This record gives sequence, structure tokens and C-alpha cells, in this order.
Amino acid sequence: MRCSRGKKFLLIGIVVGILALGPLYMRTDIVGLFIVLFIHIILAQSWNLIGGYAGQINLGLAAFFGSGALVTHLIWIGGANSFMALLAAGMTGLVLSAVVGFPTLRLRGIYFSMGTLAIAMTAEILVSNLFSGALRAPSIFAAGFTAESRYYVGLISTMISLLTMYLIARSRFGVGLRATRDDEDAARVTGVNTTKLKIEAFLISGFMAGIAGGIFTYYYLTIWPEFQFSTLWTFVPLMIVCIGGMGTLMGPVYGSLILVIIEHIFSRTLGAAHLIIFGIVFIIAVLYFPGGIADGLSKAQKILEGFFSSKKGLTKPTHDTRMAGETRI
Amino acid sequence: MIVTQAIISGLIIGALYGLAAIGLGLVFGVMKYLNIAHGSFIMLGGYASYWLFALLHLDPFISLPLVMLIMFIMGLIFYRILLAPLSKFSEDLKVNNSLLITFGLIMVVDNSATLLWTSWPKSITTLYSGAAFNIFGIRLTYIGLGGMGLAIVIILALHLFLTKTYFGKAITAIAQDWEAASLMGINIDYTYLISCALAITLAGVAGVLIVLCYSVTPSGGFSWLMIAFIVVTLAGMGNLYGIFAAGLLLGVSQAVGSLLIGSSYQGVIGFAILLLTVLFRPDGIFTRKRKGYAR
Repeated sequence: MRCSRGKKFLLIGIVVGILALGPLYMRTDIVGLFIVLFIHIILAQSWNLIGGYAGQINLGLAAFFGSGALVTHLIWIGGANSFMALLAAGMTGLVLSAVVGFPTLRLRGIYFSMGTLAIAMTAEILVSNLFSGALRAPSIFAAGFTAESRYYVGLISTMISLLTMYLIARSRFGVGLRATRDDEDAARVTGVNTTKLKIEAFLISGFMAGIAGGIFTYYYLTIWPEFQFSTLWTFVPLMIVCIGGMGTLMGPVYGSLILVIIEHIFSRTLGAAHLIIFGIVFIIAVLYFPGGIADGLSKAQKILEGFFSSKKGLTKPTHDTRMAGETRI
Repeated sequence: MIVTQAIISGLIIGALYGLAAIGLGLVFGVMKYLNIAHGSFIMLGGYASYWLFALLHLDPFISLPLVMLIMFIMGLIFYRILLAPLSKFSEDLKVNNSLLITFGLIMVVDNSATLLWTSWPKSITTLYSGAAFNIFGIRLTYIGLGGMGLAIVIILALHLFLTKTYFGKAITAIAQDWEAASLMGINIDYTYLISCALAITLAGVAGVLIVLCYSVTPSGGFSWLMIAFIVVTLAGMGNLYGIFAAGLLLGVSQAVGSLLIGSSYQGVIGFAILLLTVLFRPDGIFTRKRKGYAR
């Protein structure tokens, strides 16, 4: 059952192809839902890079996301073209993560977590004092900007971020990050410059979160700064990653798929109460299912494999030399 | 005169800061868990006092033992359900998972509080709320003084409990080295349970003072968490004895600093202090020798 390399590429190609032709056959509201999904995937991957791979808990993702959305809006209104605005959003996230990362990542985990939490809180207060209510883009922008183009901006950014994560996970950099997460002292002793790796990962993560904010602005055109900076935008990506599987490439994708659908249903029927249920589910996931969906799927696959091979009465020779507990990418 | 007034009011609010922080310091010092939901528990204490006042017309100082009892039970449940299952994880994962779980708890508690009490600020107004007297030209409110007195009594009681009783010594021993302590026959799980419940109780007391002097909102827990974290960092992570002094220091420097740069930037002073401490004295200002690295 385990796919060979060629089969895997074929599968990815088919999925990307189906998604790329999406706007041709999808209803408009489904296209919108997909853009929301893309935003969540990018945000979740951003959190996953620093939280899942490097093991540093970022509790202020909302600040990065929100400032990306805000900067895109301001620059776009200012007259720059949309690509520059998106790039500026990413750069804002990057600068913000440099500000938080350099002092706190030299130390152990909790300072980083509290530093990011502090930034998020300060940003939320600052923004709610500066901007009240909604910021609307002029209708000229809406006229020249179709749903399809927004969809493709989201799709391409998501593909790029997934590819980046894939390359990082396989590179020396990714191995260093995982070593830092598993045992920082041991990694340091073996000659890994853990501080440098953590800061680099956090810069990339901040860039991705900023981009996600930019795409949000593109899609909605109107932004509500107080809402973009609220804790919800930290909590949802965090929950996606923890449910999907921390430190895996596909985990956040599965998590986003499930959460976007559930949120779409729940937030209409339950209102604010759905966050209480989400919180409880999140706590249970962290406590009792630390591997998440990605881990569950790979276990299920193994069981199925065993089931099929025993049914045929053949024992497949195992060429797989991976260790039992090793993370699959 | 203005400076003296600022220092005095700084000391009064500093005592409250110390009280708000000591629960966070206790949980971190003893268990090495960082309880992000500490601020939310402070708010819950405030709301408990508010409810007893609004529904049963009990004076907050009289209903305090009842609030403490409620918060103690809440702490027991909190440890049993959320923190005890964490003990199966490895050392590094424990801290990370405690961060994640308590962050999830914030979502649950804050949103429940919004449903129960709406997001408007709630506060208790008693007959003596605005009452104040002047001494040497310095204005002092009775509530401020009462709160400071209460904070000092509580901290002294905690100090005596930790140093004079057998159980308190066990808590201190675990804070220093839990493995050695467990080899000496101390029941780790039970000690964790009680110290967690104690920490939540102290958070509740701070909440009562906050609902008396200021007001509580469902999302207000974050700012009290940050204050508690700044105080704990200033005192040195895991150093229980410096916390009260660090609270006073933060209170005074905020009060005096806001005289200089304006009260709207009061929060910035706290963050500046946090940043400077993290950069130059990550082990806290009361630690004499720096260890190789900070945890």
C-alpha cells in the first residue's frame, strides 16, 4: 500500500490539477471556502515550522497575521501593486519576528512563548486604539479583482509554503530544528547552533504568517483590525496543528480541512460557544492524541498493510530501513 | 509630594502585583509547568466574589474565605484533570504541553465567562469604596490599604507555611530537586496537587482585590498574566521568596515611571523591565551568581 515515489508525485499532480481547475466548476461560496482553507493552511504551516519542528511555542501568531493584513491593506490603498503589497506583508511579519525572536530565542522555551504573547497583546491594544471599526478597500479594487484571481493567489501561496516546508523538513536545517526540539542540550553539544536555527525558522515562520494576513486582505477586501489581531487567530492555527499532527508536513493540511468545515458549520449555529467546544477538543487532543491525525493515519495504514499482506498469505520483503518511531514526511 | 504619593500608590499596587504573581511562581517553581491560564483564574476569583456580592450581598472581605474555598476546589480539579496527565511526557514536552493546554483552557474559561457575565467590566462598589483619608498630604484609600494588608498577611502566611510546616518544606524540597525529594519519601503527586490548588487559591485572592479596586473583564486575564510573568521573571524563575519584593519594585517603578512619561504608557514600562531582565539577568535580579544558562 505504501506509495512509491512515482505514484506519490502522480497523486500530488492530480490533486493540484483538480484544485487548479477549481474555479471552473465550483460554486462561488465554495471557492470562498477554499480561500479560507488556504489561509488556514499557510498560517498553520507557519506555526508548525516554529512550534512543530523547532519546538518553540508561539502564542502570538495573531500579531504576525494581523500586521500582515493591515500592512497589505495600507500599502494597497496607497497605490502599490498587489504583488508588492503581499511581499510587504511578509516582510512585516519577518521584521516583527526578528524583534521578538532575537532577545527571546537565545533562552529556553517559556521566554519565547511569553514574549510572543506580550507582542500579540500589545499589538491588539495598540491597533484597537488606532483603528476602530472596519477598514474598507475602495470599490475600484473590488471591481478589478475577481474571485478567481484571489483563489489563485491563495493556491499558489499555499503550494509554495507546502513546498518550502517539504524542502525544510528534508534539509540539514530541518534535521537541526528537530534535534533542537528533541533535546536542545544534546543538539548544542553535537555542534548545532540551536539559537541561529531557531531564529532562522522563526523569521521564515513570521514571513509566512504575514503572507497569510495579506491573502486575507485580498479575499475579504474589508478588514477589521481588532478582529485580525484577536487571540482567535493564534488559537485556530495552533489547534489545527495539534489536531493534525505537530511536526508533520501533511498534518496541518488535514487539520485545516477538518477545522474549516467544522468552523463553517459551528460558528453559524452556536456563535461564540463553539470556541468553548474547540478549546475542550484541543485540550483532549494535546493530552491524549499527541501525534494527531497524521500519526493516526500512518498507524491505520500500517494496520491495513498488515491485514492485506496476511490475507494474501505473502510476506512482503521489507526494504524500508526506517526506524519504528521515525517521523514520516 | 507627588513623587511620594506615586511611591506610596506604587507600593500598594505592587503588593497586589506580588499577590497576583505568587501563584504563577508557585506552579512554575514547584512543577516546572507554566500556567498561562493564571490570569483567567484571577478573573474567576474576581467573578466569584462579584457573584457572592451581587446575589447574596456578601461583603467581599467577608466572602473571601468562601471564594478561597471555591478556588481551592477549582485548583484541585484543574490539577487532576489537566496537569496530572502531563506527567507521562518527557521534561521538555511537559513545559510545552502545559503551555498548550493552559492556552486552550484560556479559550474555554474566557468564552464561558463572556457567556455568563457578558464582556462588560464588572466591579464591586461598597459603601467604603471611595473613602480615603489624608496623612501628611498623601491620599490613601481604605481599600488600597486593606488590600495591601491582606496581601502582606497572605504572603507571610505562605512564607510560614513553606518554612515551618513539614508539608511546606516538602514543597520547597520538590522545587529544588524533585527526584531527590521523591527518593526521600515525599509523595510527589500529592504535593503537586496541593501546591497547585494553593496557587489557584492565591490567584483567587488577587482576583477579589482586583474586583474591589479595579474591575474584571473576561479578557482582562491576559494583562494580569503578563504582570505576573514580569514579576516572576524579575524575581527569577522558581525563586519564590523574591516575588513579593519584585512586585513592589514593579509597582513603584510603574508609578514613578508614569509620572515621567505619562500614564498611558504604563504598560510599556513593564515590558521594558521584562526585556531588560531577560537580556541581562535571565535568572532574576535577586540571584547572585548566573548559572551557565537560563531555563
